[in-house]
Amino acid sequence: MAKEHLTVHKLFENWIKNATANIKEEKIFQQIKTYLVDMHPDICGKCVPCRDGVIRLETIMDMFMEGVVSLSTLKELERLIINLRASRCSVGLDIGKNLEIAFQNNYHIFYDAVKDWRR
Amino acid sequence: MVKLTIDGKTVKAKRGSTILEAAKEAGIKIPTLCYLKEINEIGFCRICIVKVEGKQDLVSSCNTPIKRGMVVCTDNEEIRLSRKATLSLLASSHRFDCWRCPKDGMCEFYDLLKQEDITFNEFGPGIGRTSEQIISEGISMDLTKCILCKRCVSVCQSIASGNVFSFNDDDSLRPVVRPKSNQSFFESGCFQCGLCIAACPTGTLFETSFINQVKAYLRDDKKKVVAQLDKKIQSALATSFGYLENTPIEETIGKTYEALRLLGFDIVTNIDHGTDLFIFAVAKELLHKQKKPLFITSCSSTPLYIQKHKPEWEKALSHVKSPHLINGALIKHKFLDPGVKVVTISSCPAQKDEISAPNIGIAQKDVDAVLTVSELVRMINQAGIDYKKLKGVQNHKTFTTNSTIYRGGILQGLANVLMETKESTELIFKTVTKTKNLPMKIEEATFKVNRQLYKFARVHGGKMIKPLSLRMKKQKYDVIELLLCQQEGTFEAHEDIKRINHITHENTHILNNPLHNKTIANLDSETIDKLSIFEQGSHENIKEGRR
Repeated sequence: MAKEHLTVHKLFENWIKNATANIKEEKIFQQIKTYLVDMHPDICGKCVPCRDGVIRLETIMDMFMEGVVSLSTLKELERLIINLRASRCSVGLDIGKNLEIAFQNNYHIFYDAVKDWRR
Repeated sequence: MVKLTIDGKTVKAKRGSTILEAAKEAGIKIPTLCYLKEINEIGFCRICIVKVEGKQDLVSSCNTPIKRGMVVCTDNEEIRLSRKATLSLLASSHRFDCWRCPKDGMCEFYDLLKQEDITFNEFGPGIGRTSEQIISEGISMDLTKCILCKRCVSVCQSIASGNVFSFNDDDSLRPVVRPKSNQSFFESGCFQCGLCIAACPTGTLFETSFINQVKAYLRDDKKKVVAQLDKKIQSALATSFGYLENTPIEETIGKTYEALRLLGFDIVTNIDHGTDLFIFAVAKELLHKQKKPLFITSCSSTPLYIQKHKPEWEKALSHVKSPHLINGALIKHKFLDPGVKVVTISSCPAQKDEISAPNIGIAQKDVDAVLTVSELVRMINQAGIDYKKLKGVQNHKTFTTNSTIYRGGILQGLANVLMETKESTELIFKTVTKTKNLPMKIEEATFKVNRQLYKFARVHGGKMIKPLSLRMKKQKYDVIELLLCQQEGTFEAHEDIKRINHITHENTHILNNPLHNKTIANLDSETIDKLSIFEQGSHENIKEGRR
């Protein structure tokens, strides 16, 4: 691999790492929602997991921000994210994979929100 | 042949077939929702998902072609969870008022929810994606129930050639299926064949109900109400009450007449007189027509199709009314006071549109309401009538014909009349054009009477109109029978819908030879014309009146 390529590769790796590291706990729900809203123009609206799933995921993020989530909300979130694996095209599949990573790496934040509810 | 493994079973399937087809051949059932074989293989609903070894994500089996050595799993925890999540998503946007849904127990979506044991957690049950309702005379649409499977769009496009519906995804997260360009059914070129109703897996598309109107007639003691039954629907009606499909009509038709009497109809009859007069009038029109061909049909949606999609054929279209209108006219204008109310019991939503169109009949409507099989079944059930326990009664003798029954379609009936004998030579139809996988075709038959050779053509399905136009350039036909609402076997709808369509659209119309019908023999020629022919130019007037 040429030196320039290695540099680009390194920069990209750092960018990914920083991006992951930069998700602030209190903002994660808003950031996920913003990401989902930004994906709207790319969604074709043909398959159910992506078209209807994304809308539901946004609603769930709103519920997290309002602090009104229960364990069943968390399970629904997990179900919807995994279900994006059944999407028809790469848009839905990519949304699913990105959310899966964000969800797995920050599960404690989502779980804390459940614990905090009605406390 | 391609060898692959499905659920651990080695399967051989045709090259080019899909995973779903290969699984079906091997006896493995994969649930589907938006799928219609050869018509709608788009993988929108994601219910038929399977896991293919070597692929990270789930794939839809309805549109994934098989490959040699493929290893497929159709049922595991991941697939089940995904299917449940997808169904929950659909259900959370579907309005559930199943107790008053027109599908009335024949809902594929409901069956699937039941089969997969769907429960609602955070979301649902829904109230619908949009609250819009599109009402027309024959077909109506309740968008609160739409699950965006796109079946109606495909069926209308590939079988009926109507292109009425569009999948509008301007707002990709809130797409909507409805008649194109936000138009009404009529404006968008719908000819009310009803294929979309049969294809719809939910109660989104349905026949506009006449139940309340008929109940109002029956409640009014001053009105005399006549029920005229199209005998083609009898088997479908009987099977709805648990009889076998092959039960002879004679065994159950008396029960239907009795059920109609119990519902409050004053006179119960069938439309056989109308069918006889129809054949008689068509034969007369053919003999007097200078310019051939003559387009004939007993299907009420065909004149609408010609008006909207083939206006150049309008002049060649027969001016004879459809059999149930003729029968209604006969009852109203010959036998009874014109103030009576006539209700047709049939299977066709186009007949609902037909009777609602302006300028049909002279002073007033020939028929006042049309009830379909499902509507009559609902009325019988609502009235608490135990159909199976009924003993059966005779129909009204004055209004009902009891002559010999012929089978073989309108053209066979026409041949009988032209031959002027009770039994004529059976017409032998030869298929000249057909679609590859769907039962749509053009048939031809020739027939000689008094040294005059008649050439007949019979067209099944709207998709055959284009080939017919090409064929008409080479062939000189005398009569062309158009049957555009071809439903039998065209797609795999709900089992019950498929059964009803199969029975009611059998290509064996029950016909009598009108020359041996005493009632018709007693009518003078002028009366026959008055009762059975549309006023000149009425097709154009109907079109104008609807605008």
